[in-house]
Amino acid sequence: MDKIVALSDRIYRMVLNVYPRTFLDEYGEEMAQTMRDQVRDALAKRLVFGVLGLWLKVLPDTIRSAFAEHMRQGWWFKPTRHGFGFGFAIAIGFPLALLSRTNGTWSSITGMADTLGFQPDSQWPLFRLMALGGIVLAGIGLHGFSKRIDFESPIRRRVTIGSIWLGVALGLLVFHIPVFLPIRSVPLLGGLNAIPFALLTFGLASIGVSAFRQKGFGVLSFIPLALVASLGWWRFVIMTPPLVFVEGVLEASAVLIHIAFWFILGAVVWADPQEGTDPAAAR
Amino acid sequence: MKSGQSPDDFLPLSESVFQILLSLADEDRHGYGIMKDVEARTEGRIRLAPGTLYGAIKRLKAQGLLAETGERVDPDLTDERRRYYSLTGSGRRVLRAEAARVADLARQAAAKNLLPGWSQITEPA
Repeated sequence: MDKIVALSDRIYRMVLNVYPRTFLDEYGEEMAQTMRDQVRDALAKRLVFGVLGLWLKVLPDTIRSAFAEHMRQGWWFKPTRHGFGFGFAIAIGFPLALLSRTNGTWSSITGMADTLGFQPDSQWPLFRLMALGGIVLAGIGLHGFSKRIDFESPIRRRVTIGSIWLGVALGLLVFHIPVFLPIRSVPLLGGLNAIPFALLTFGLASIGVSAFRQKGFGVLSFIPLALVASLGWWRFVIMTPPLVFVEGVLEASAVLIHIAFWFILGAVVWADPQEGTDPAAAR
Repeated sequence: MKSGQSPDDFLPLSESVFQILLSLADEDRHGYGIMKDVEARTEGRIRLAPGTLYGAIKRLKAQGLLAETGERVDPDLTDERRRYYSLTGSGRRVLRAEAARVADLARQAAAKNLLPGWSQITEPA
């Protein structure tokens, strides 16, 4: 019986991570205590079925109330002066750079341009400019965001900012200086294309994880972020022809995930820092 | 309650909030005590889950309608210390105003013969 209470307590403490950190700091322990009482009560009345029934009631309530708490804490769009600029830079820059390197997007854009009589090819300067500008914008935006985040350790901050600017520098070199083009034609080494995106994605993921941690999402936030980060690396690993289709799917998924991610990251970081990010202020 | 606010500014209360305040009307309780009291009074119709309960407690505390009265052990439960809550003067006024509002609704319904047996409801003093 005690084991069931202990197991339920452990699971509930994990689930509690969906609440904003300020809320959790104030009521997390008490909520866990109350849940333990409820589990003991349910066990005494209806054994394991009672506990299952309790969980079926508690989980939807947790999702609903956690969402409500995030909304109340200004989680939804409340742009601050600097946050808006940096958010705009990233939201435009990163997808722009990413899209410019995605074969399907490239083909569709050149196809449209061709229809209009422009007859561009893959070396068309506008696309190179698009990728270049996108990467620089993404770097500036990510750097700006990184200043608004509590990384909880100076090393994490340095690594994050370092990876962002290394990614920008490599992106400019690998993609847009003609002398590097022969390298890209060598099988496997063509994966160099992916390194800047992997670095930028790592910076993005690091900022995102810290932003979510500030808001109390904790470990749960690693799941989508790890996926985002790993997509960047898969792009690097998968370069052989049989896997081209997989690569395309992964790239398309990466674009979608990134768009969703900007939305969430923007919402979190643009939230008014006076509400929700400072536990002391919230009390 | 901020200065210049009247109890009517908080009305109508949601049913959960009304029940939480009502459970504190006669004695201080901890979170689980509130849950049990609400469940018992409503004969199981309202079963508060921790998320709803503590979300409401947080808001009511911020509005000055309830307050913490310290931590102590509940002799009927485990020997863990629990945080107790009490109704503030403002909370009691809001609760009274909401009860009067609901009673007024009931009186109006009774006047239209929608509540058989409720014709004896008296006017408020």
